[in-house]
Amino acid sequence: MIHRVDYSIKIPANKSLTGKDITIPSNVGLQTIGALLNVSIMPGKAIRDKFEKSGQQYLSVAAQAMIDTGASGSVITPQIAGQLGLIQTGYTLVASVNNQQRQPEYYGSIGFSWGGIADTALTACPLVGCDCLIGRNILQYWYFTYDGKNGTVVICD
Amino acid sequence: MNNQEALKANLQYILDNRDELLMQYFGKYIVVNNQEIVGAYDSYENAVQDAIQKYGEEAGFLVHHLTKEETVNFVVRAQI
Repeated sequence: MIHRVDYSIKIPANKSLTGKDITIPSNVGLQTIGALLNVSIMPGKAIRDKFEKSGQQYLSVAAQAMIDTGASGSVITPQIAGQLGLIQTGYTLVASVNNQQRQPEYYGSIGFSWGGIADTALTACPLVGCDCLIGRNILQYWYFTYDGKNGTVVICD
Repeated sequence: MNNQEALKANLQYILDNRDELLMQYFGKYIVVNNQEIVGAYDSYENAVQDAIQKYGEEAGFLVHHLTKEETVNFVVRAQI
């Protein structure tokens, strides 16, 4: 399936400095905010199946995720991992600009607005500017096009 | 031993035996429970699902991708 995300931003008159409705073109929107996606984070499939079999509801958390081709694995904040009570399955070495340290790795899933769900390892690490990073462990299953000229991201999963 | 201690002990087992394990399980996702290799898989998802089924969620088993050099996730947005 092909999914196209458009990054034009509509600012209503009551929030606009000019007092009029403003639409920021999609190419400017994408350049400004980056390739963000609305996602939901939830426990991994084996845990969700268990909840569903027992007729219980599992928790999920809505988050803004940035597609990050520089990250080998996907990342969530420690707050989200704690809220969902995800199962820790190990550690990942994370390098930032200033530091390198082992961070906990959890078994979870990321759900996308088009209905796709990626069951994967999620590293927990405090992040600046977003709640989640979609790393190459998910991108390896996608065709992904960043169209800066038209301000769209196209994902085929 | 609580869950966190078990995870740390399992990680230490891998670090202490890395060279030996590489010879046998290079490229695999290995599952370590009670400081013992209990499975080797081609994907993280299969490794976790099988380990949960066999040992339960609270066991403190560890899943580790065994590669020549440990993968470092470079995260520019990380606040560490």
